[in-house]
Amino acid sequence: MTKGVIIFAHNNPSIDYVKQAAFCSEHVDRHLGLPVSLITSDREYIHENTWIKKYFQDIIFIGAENIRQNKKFFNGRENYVKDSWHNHSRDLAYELSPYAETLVIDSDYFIHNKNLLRCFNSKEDLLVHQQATYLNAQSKKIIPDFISDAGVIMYWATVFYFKKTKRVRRFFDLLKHIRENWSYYRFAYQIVESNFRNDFAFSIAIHILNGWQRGTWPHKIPDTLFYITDRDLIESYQQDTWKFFLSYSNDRDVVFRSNKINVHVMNKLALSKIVGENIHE
Amino acid sequence: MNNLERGYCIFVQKHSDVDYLKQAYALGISIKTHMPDSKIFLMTNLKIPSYMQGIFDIVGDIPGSDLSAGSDWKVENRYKLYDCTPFEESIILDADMLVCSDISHWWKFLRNFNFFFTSAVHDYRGDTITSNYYRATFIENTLPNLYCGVHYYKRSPANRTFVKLIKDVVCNYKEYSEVFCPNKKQRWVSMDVSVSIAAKILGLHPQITSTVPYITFTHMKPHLQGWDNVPAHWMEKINVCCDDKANIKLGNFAQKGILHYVEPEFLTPDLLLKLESRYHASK
Repeated sequence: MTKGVIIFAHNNPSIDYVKQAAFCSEHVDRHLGLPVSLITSDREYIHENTWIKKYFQDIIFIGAENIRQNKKFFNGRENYVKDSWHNHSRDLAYELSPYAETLVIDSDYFIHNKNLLRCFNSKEDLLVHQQATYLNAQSKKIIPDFISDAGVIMYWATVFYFKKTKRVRRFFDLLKHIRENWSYYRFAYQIVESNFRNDFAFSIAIHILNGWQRGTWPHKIPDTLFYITDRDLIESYQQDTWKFFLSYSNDRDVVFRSNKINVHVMNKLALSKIVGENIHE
Repeated sequence: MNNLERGYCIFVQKHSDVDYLKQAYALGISIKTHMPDSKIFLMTNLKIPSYMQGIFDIVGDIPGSDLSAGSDWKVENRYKLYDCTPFEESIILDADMLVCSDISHWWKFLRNFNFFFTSAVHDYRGDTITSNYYRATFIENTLPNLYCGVHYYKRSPANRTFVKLIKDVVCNYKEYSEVFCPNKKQRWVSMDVSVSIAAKILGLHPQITSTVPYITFTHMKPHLQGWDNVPAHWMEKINVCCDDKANIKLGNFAQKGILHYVEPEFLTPDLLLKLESRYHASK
């Protein structure tokens, strides 16, 4: 059975997601020792930067998305840029993955231990995070357990594992259907945000496949999904150790050093600087 | 097995604003759809229209004098079900409920008790409710947290004292309330409070309830739903979906077990029609 990791990356003018994916892939290689395939629409970029191919076992090109959505990318509490956000291809993971067992991770998710290798010993066909833990323990919880006040239970598409089974195929088909009919599902599930989000699509699809109720499928990933938000700052990164300034109040930040834990670094603008320092020709 | 060994009991008294009889009819339909062999006893002071008569196997008058004259809620006579139920074992349900799936397996569990009240109810998402928003009287006065919306009663000599005391609490609610609810009173007569006072006096609550949410119901009072922004009526917050087979979803959550919908507006003519169609199709 082949095992590997998939990362999706679609650049926008403000963020070099492909380079970010290379940084991410380098962590996968060091800690999990698994091959990484990149799925991207940035064909031209790859041709101009062939050196980046060394970070990936395979690069799979897909067409550019024909849906445009924008969002604010924050870098701390006040600074932000408004730019395009391409996240509509995640449901292609099933058909595009060259692996029998696949771990899909966001390009801003960094692996610092071997915990996720345990997914591959699982009998489960899909493993997803149901909860996320903010590294800033002093802050009020900012991410709810439900996709909206009256909505369904939140699942996270940041990192997930799947095997190619009939049920998982159905799951990805449903994700695609939800994406294609997002305005309906957004309305039906009372989602305030107008942008399509894979987390929401995952949550809705899992809810439906469990018979429109809480179910025991899928099981949780054998790890904790730690994250920092885009309102938090990255002070430094060195030898697998991150130093964050976590947003606490208007005049105070909390300093947090993270080491040996897998972490979702949502401040992509600050992350770009770190990536630039670590990934180059 | 004798047909009158087990059955479901519903109490309905004439009310100026709410058509409880229609609710009881809908509940009866839902019981017989999922459990066609079930028997239903209706205690009421209302005349039953002919189209409803096939649903209720036994109909009885409310005996004795009307204890609820002048009361809005009309629950004071409800304890009379204990004397009048034709069943050896009864599951007593509020009229504003629907049975959304087969619950006949409950009997096996319930036969271990003489009385059983749930202490843990669910919200529409299936989560056990932790809010005490409507339970201040129970918390402030350390009353056992019993819900009468769905409860089990066995005709047994062991229940005589308890039933007698429940009657006495209901009939003298104000006096009992003064003594047992000094910290927070519920001014109107409530079966939940009355039963809890009686259970506390007799020290019975460990024997008549369980926090294991096995025998339970979905309680749709709006402040119990785990929402940050709570409207006055739950139907303002989430959509109701009922397919042609009368499967009900609230806020995209499929409903199983017993749904206590609370708001009379929930039972629309369209929903009733779908319940009737499914019932007739299941026969």
